[in-house]
Amino acid sequence: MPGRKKHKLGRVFLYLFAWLTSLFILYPYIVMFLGSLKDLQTMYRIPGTLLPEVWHWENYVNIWKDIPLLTYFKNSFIVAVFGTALCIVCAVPGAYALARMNFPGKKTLMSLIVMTQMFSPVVLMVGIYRAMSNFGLANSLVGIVLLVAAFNQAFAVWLLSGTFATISKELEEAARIDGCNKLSAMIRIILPLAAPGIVTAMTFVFIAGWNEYTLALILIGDSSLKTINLGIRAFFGYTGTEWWYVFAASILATLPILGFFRILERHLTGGLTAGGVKG
Amino acid sequence: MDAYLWLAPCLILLILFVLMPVLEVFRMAFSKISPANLLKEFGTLENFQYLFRQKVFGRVILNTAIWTVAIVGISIVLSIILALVLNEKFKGRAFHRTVLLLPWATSLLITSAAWKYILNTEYGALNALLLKLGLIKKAINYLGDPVSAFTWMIIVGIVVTIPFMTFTLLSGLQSISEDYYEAAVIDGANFWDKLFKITLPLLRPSINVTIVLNVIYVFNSFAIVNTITAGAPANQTHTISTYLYYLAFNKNKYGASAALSLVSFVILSIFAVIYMKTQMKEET
Repeated sequence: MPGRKKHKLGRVFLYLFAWLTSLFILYPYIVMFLGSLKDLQTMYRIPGTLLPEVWHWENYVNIWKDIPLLTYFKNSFIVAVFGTALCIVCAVPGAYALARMNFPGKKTLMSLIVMTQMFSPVVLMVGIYRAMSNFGLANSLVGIVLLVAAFNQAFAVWLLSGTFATISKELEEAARIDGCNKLSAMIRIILPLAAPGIVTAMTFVFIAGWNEYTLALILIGDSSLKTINLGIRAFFGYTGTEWWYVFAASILATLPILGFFRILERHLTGGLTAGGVKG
Repeated sequence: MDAYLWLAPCLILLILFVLMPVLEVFRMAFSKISPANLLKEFGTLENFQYLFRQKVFGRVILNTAIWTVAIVGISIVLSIILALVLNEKFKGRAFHRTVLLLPWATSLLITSAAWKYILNTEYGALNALLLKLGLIKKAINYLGDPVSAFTWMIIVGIVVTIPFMTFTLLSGLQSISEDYYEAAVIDGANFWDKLFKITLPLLRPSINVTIVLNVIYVFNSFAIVNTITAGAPANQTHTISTYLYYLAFNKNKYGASAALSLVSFVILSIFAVIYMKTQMKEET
């Protein structure tokens, strides 16, 4: 039957495409993993080596002593946690107002907020540098936290107002009749229903904060304030990058996020369509 | 009014930490700036003149256009195929989905660092692999000439763009009701009919959202080029964002860097206007 044959061909294509993509994506991670176990001699041999000659598992122990990796992790954690908290705390009431209240200038305000998405920190770097120096917040983690919260507002507000818009108004009105005011109606009724959207927004901002690089590169000078990416960046010496530590640090920095992602996969995309396409 | 009170925290953050830097960029672009980064004499066009005089300026703009169009264009096609593949039930689907999360979970600096090592001529992993497999006779210098270096960076850009695109499209696919397909099968539709007459039209909103978001992300992307070539050789592989950084922090030309920021705002605004116009046309 011709139909069957076509079907089989489709299956072959499907497996082929999936495996080719996965292999290509995995390739740098395999390289990083093998590289993280090499020593100086194997790393810089010409031509390059595929496998470590001796598998130096102790690289993963020594790295904690040789570089202030723990400090880098702590700083990235501070940026991610407080940046996310501040971003969501500011975005939730704002998004709620935009989704549920009527006031003059609402549409303009929404477009203005979403438009700030266009301003990436990269493009504004000299302005950010000056503004933060004026505020006395250059070279401080507080500055990075505030900027991470601010530059993720557009996305969070957009996503959350889409989520709030999908929650039925009747529920809220019923709560009002039962004597709740706007604030308690929101906390008791709306927030639990909006939880998937909020989790999505939090995840995105957390990852953005954890992986933040440009702002720290522009603003942070003190080595005690360096985030993971800045710490890894510091390894690119002019001669002889310690690639095994670059890769060990990279793998250690990526693993927690991957675990986090795996758990939240469903929320990630579900929340995104609820907010995005309908909002 | 009540609503403004609810909006206040969000607006205060945006005014202080987004709007203020934007205003600073405007002021700097039109001011004379001393080497100690002090602003003098507002109202000069010197920074723009300096910027346009740079021989690589045209190259930087062209590179940014190629960068954005190539990465978003190729990624969207691959992502649509990948989303269709991952939407099917098959053995190992969960594994492939997890793999796809990897580049998304990894910081751009880390991905770029890995590729910088992979593409190194002498001790790099790619040459090592190809030599061992006997596919090449001697080491290739991937980052030596601008075209090859830029092509490789575009490939890295595609790898990091595909995950977010694919997952956005996958959730779009999952919201398409099975009923459409069942009805189509009864009508005798084949695979291509279903793809072009049901799936793609209904996926349109997700495709639009992901294209717009990614044009902005990719246009502004910084870490890949800054880490892998930092513009080398001879400033030929810069995009706007890495050239901005180079002007400000390597050449100490804060004013010219601010001027280039304004140029990039103009380009993105033109994109925004074109996008909104086509959207409106589609809706009427």
